[in-house]
Amino acid sequence: MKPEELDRVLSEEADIVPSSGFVTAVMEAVTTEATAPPLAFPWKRAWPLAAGFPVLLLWLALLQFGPGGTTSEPDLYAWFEMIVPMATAWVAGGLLMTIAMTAWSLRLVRLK
Amino acid sequence: MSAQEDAADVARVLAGDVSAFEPIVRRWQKPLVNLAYRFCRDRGRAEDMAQEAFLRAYRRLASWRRDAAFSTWLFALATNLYRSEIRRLPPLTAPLDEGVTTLDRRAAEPILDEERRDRIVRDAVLTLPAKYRDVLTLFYFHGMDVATSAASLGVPHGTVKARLSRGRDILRSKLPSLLGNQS
Repeated sequence: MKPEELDRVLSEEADIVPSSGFVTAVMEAVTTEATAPPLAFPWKRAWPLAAGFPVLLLWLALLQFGPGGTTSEPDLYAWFEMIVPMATAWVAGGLLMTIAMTAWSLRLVRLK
Repeated sequence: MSAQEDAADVARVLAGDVSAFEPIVRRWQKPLVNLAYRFCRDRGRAEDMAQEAFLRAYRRLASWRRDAAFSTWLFALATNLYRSEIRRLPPLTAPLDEGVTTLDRRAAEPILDEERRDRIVRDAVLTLPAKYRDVLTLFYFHGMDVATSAASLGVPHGTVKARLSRGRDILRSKLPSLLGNQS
C-alpha cells in the first residue's frame, strides 16, 4: 500500500454519532459529583492516633518532670539522650512506611 | 466563537453553575467520543471513556490555564485518559489473522472489499507499539496536524514526526501479510 493510500484510509474515517442519551448521562454523573457530600474524616480509625499523641506527650512530661524525674531543673542532655533514639526510630519507621506505600501504589498502578 | 463560549461556560461552572457544563459537553461530545472510538474501536466503550473524560475535565476545570485553547487542554486530558484506559483494558478488536481469513477474496463487490480492507488497516493501527499507535491515532484524528497532535500528546513536534514516520513504516510492513493479495 502506497503512503498516500495509507493516509487516505486512515484520515477519511467516518465519524460515529454519540447516542442520544450521552449528554444526559454525562450531566447526571457531573451533577452527582457536584452534589456529593465531601468525604467525612475517618475519626473512627484516627482516634487511637489522635488520643495516643497527647498520651505520649504526657508520658514524656512525666518522665522528665514527674516524681521520678528531676525537679530542680530540667536535664536537657538526658532529655535529648532519651528523645534522639526515639526520633531516629520514628524517622526510620516513617521512611520504611513511605517506601512500602510507594512500592504498593506502583504495584497497584501496574495492576490497574 | 466556540473558544469564547468555552471560556464563558467554564467561568460559569467555576462560579458554581453546574448546568453551564452541559453546553461544553454538547459542543465536544462528538470529537471526544470519536477520539475514544479510534483508540478502542468499540462504540459503547468509546462513550464510557468519553464520559469519564468529561467527568475528569469537570473535576479539573480550575486547572485550565487560559494560555492554551480549551480544546487543546480538553484533548490532552482525554488523550491521557484514553491511553491509560487502553493500557488497562486493551481493545476488543478481532485478531487480525481472523480478519484475513474472513476476507472473502472472491467477493463480487469491490466496494465491500475496499471497506473490509480499510477496516483491517485501521484495526492494524491498534496493534502497533503504544507510542506509534498513539501518534498515528492522534495525527489522523486531528486532520494530519502535527502541532495539534503534539499538544494532545504533550510531546515535541519532532517526536511526533519521528514516531509518525516509524509507525507508518511498521504499519506498511505489516499490511501485505494482513491483506493478502489485496494489497
